[in-house]
Amino acid sequence: MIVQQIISGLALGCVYGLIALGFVLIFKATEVINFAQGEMMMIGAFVAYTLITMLNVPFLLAFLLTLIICGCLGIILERVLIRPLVKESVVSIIMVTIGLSITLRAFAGMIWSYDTLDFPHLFSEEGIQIGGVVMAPVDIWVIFVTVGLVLLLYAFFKFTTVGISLQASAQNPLASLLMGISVKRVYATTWAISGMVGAVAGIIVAPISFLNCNMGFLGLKAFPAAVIGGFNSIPGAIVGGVIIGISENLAGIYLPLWFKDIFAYVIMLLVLMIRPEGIFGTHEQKKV
Amino acid sequence: MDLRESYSIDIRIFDEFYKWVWLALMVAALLIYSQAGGNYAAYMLNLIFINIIAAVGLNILTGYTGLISLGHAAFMAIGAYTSAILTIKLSVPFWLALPISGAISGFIGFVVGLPSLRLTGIYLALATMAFGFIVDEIIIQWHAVTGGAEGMSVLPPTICGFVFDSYPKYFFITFVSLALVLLSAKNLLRGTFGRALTAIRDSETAAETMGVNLGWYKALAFTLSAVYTGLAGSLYAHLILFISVDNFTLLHSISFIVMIVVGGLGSITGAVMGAVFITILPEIIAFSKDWLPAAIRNAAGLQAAVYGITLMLFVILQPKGFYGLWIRVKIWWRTFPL
Repeated sequence: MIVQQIISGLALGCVYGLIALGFVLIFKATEVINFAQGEMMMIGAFVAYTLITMLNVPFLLAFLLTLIICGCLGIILERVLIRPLVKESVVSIIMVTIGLSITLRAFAGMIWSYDTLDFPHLFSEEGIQIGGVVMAPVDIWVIFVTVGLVLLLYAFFKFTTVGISLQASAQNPLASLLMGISVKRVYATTWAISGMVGAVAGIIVAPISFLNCNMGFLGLKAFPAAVIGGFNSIPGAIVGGVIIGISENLAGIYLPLWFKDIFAYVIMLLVLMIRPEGIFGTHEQKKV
Repeated sequence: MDLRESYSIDIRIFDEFYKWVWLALMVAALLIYSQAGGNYAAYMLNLIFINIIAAVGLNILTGYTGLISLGHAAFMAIGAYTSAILTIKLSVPFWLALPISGAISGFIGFVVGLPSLRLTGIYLALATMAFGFIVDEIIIQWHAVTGGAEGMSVLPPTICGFVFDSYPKYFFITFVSLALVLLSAKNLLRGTFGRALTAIRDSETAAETMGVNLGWYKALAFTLSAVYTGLAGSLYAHLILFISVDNFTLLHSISFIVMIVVGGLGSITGAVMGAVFITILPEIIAFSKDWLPAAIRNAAGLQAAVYGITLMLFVILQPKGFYGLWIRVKIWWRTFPL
């Protein structure tokens, strides 16, 4: 029973982690938090849905097209909304991304209606027995995709020139500018990547939760994940997500049922009070 | 040109005579409109006044002190439920329940504000958001006291035997409350207290060097902000006479933020302008529907889209809000030929 709950918490946690990954990527490079990341996920899911069910595009091609479209959307949003505010305070950037999330949700409602749509199921519904534990194939795929994506991003930041320049400009924009890194391009790249991560999350989440213009609210659950793991750590996002997913499921068993919904936020508040930088996060001292 | 010769002249609330005249005219117009304009007009005025009180509360925290809160609807909920429970279950008179609900909300604001010494920026935003969710969940689960998810009905307020059972009558309560709130806020913020908050917003380190006790002033800013918002909650409960958690969600917290951003961060006048604009925005949209193309006229998300776009446009193009615009127009007129 407990093992079963832990396993299903793992899959749920990976979903939270994937959304949190979008926050973390943008925060790492630009110290901005994107409240519209959940909505990016929703747009990704809707675009994939449109391609697959309405235009009959084969799945893999639809997946790639969705990535490209969401990446471009990320670049456009950065250019139009975030770049004019580069020197502004955190408060104004939070406001603008909140405005963005409201707007994206409203437009999605206008385009794809407010009804819950049926995302095509890619895997069989039948559970697979692994050592006494029943797992849905979808859950296994979620875990695999998440691990793969994290490894990919890790390699990208560690070994490619673009990835290293992203990290450099996050640490010191002026110095990296002097070293010949285009900080503007770095910002655009980051938003493109986080748009794509959002699209991957959307395509994975839509079959297991629901496809609705309100699915972006799932992003609110990803904030605790990002905080617990540390807002500037890529593995931290996934670990935080898994911690939230598993502890939520366990809270569902051992604590009164209603506690399950707010358990993530209680953990987040505790982490914020004890160690605001999270498990893997590093604390940077700001100079005056 | 107006040269100011002393500091006390500079911080006067009404610096010129004509402002008294305008104020008197406006009060007269509001009184006439609320009493003769029909039920709906009086309801809108009440709602506007309540939103102004909440917006002033949030602006003290976010605009003046620079601490963002995504959980202000929770303070409003605390005020509303305190007032409702006191008047219905404990038969406390309304004139006493109103300040008590402000005080309880303020106390909880103080407790929430304590960790804000450690948390700034996004972390505070997330913590207050979590606070909002937790308060909502407590209200839903505490069925015996709050009526749970079904909500609870509230009685119209009674003062000295006079029942304020219609919107035009209730107008007098909200109007007097608003006047007191605006006067007290303006007075608090023009003195040492307000200067300390602004100093914290502009540079925490510099403020601390000047002798501002960061933790104390941040907690005080939270308290004061929560008091005003709690009062707004209590007034709101007695206006709509039925409250449930659905009236105090994250979206409501966001709408208060929209009000102060659109009106102008860090200014009482701005909070007033923003609250008025956002409260009548649905009316404006309904009014201008006829000129919109048919495709988007009846779209369900129209109002939300206008909301979001307004917020983004103001942050990017007019970060000082309506108040900043007003100041610019004023300066332009004053220096006209130049």
